[in-house]
Amino acid sequence: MQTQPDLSALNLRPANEVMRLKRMGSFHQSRLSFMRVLLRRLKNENWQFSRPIWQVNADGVGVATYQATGPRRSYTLVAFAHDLPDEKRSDRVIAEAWDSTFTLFDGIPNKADIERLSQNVPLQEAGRISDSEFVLARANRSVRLFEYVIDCLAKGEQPDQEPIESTGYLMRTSAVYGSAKFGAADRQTWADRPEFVGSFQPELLTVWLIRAFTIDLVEHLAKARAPKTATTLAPELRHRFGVGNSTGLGMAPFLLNHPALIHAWVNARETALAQVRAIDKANAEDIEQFEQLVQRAQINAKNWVTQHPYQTEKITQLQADFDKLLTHFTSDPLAQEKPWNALYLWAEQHLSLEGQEQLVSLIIEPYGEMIDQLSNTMCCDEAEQFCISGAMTIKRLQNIIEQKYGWALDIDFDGKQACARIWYVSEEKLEPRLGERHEESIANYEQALAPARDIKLAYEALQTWDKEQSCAQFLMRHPEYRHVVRRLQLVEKLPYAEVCDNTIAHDMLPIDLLRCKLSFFGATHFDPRSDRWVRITMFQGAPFPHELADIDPDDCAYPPLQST
Amino acid sequence: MKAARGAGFSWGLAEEAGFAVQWLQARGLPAVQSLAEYLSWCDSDARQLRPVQQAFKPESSAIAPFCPITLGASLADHGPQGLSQLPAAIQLCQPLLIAPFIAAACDTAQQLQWYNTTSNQLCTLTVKGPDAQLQTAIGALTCNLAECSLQACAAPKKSQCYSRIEKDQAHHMATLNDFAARTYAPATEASRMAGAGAGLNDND
Repeated sequence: MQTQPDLSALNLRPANEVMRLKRMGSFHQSRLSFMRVLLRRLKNENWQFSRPIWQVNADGVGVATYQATGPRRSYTLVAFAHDLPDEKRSDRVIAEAWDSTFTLFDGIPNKADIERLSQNVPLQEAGRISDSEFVLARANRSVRLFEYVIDCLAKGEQPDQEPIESTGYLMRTSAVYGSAKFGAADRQTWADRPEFVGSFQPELLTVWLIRAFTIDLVEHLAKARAPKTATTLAPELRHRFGVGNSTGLGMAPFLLNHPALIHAWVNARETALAQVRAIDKANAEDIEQFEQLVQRAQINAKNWVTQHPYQTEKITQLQADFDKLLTHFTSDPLAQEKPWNALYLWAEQHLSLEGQEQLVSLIIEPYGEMIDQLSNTMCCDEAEQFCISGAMTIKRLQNIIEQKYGWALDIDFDGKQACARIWYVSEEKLEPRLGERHEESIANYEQALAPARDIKLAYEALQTWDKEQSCAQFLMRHPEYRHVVRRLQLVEKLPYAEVCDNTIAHDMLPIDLLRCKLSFFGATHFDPRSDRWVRITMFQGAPFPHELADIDPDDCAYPPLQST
Repeated sequence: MKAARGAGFSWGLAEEAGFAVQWLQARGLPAVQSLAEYLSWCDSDARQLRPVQQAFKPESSAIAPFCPITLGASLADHGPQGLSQLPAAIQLCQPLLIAPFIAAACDTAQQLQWYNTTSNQLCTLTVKGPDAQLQTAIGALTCNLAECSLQACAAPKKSQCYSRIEKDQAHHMATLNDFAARTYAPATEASRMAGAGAGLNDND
């Protein structure tokens, strides 16, 4: 049993250190990541799983259902398998056909429900689902690995581990829509359900069940191809398959548009780190667990494949960081007082940002009993933060800017490079895009995704105002700064709500924003395909539904030691 | 929110429009219709709206109406003191849209009343905190222009949620989507190539 440190006395890392894009783009999954929160809850509550319907033909076309039953309710993944020609396979939001399409049904669907869903789910954005569905998703095959695995299994052989590790999934989702999208139930429908406390739990339950479907599908197709010789995947190899995901710019504005929620996520992780750094003495068991985890995370880094030069460099640094860390262990650094704090401070001096943030995830890992409950704080009612306090004085508003946004005031937005980019939404595909301000005529369409610039402009406008006048008076004259004032009042209370970097700078990398969000989901193996598009793996190593009762999902977050 | 932005509201006021519509729709009140009609009305001509500052200067003689979103947001900012400075009656576009801001501006119950000249009905809506109580046929709530009065009153007996107006909702949503579309940039070859994943092969 760990003693609980006094939370009010914790020394949290300052926001202007944590919320920098370079650091956010180095975050790793941790035990507070939403996939891990989900599996822990499903296990603790002894959820039961079954596959009531499997009507898939030898060409891989048909329908299957996966039912999850907990102490209060059941949910069902309804999966539709399609036969998609290679030339139609695209992960982009503009695609119109997919290898498989899915929905998460609230309860157990009857025949009529499945018939209704079969008319709509395969159409995705062009269809319509209902209040009975919480999530709409689709996935495409990893052509190479999918065919290779079927081929091996059909011959009665197991596939090699190397191609499995380098791809990591049989299928990758290209969209997982929740909350009221395309007719799905509004978040309010399920927000009070205890099984969904936290963030993105219905969406991630969907993805986890999709993972089981992808394995069932390749085994089914192998058997259909060669009924006499086909075999099934060996359990240890099965675990190495996750679900892939392609994520583009659509996810990047999320971090700027949901500041209170982002604060809740980062604050939980920072509180966990501060709690562990405050521990006076590490016991032998925790140290041993930590040292094993470091070795396992090192294997994970070795298996992390990308072609992108930015991430390649970061992985090289991370691998060097592991070597430094293991060398550092020889001096027995965890024997001292406040060992985790000392180790963290050492890392700040000796490791890259990628290594430092990996270490943050690792040092909180042995202390689940102390920190797991923080996952309950990783959600928020954004409406509570909406109202502006009109009585706040101009002086206080200026103080907030000076204290929280000194970094933004230092940026010269008259310089071309500082405002080189524009966030906008394209008419053609309604997807967020990042344009070049000085090369395209798109300034009229700019989205409000440049808080640093807007706050500096507001600060300049405030200079001519009497310091004792109120925000309400200022906003009557300057409605163009209303979103800025709302943001300032929120950031005053919620320090991790703001990305402390210029989001329209010429060298801003959207993949840093994507990486931050995806790490909170629990994704691994970030593989940027450009500066604005990333592939990831989800649930790799995790138990499958039928194994959850017997396997601790938290022990699966890093590859096993023998997996080299 | 996007629709209001497309109609020319500042980002912050567009957020307020989104807040008002969500608040009213959650209580079954026809805010989508009200906003769609309001934005269309503003757009159909170079409509003159009254600067919000004049709401707090009752001696002003101008007769142009107020925008319910702009005035509403300012009332919420000013709190109960702002409400007390309002004249007894004000010319207001789509008065329904101001109700959520009145509820946010003070803790006490407030009764809004306006006369819908199209349907010849007096509309009465009481708000207090999260509660809204309607003493009018729901169909009479939306009107482009009305003289609206506001007074303290007894609290509504209980929170009331009216059945959702599904009829014609699609039509009004389409209007809002048309306004939202004004925020989208026309596609160019450069923008297509700037989309995530453009020009890359998805098969692996």
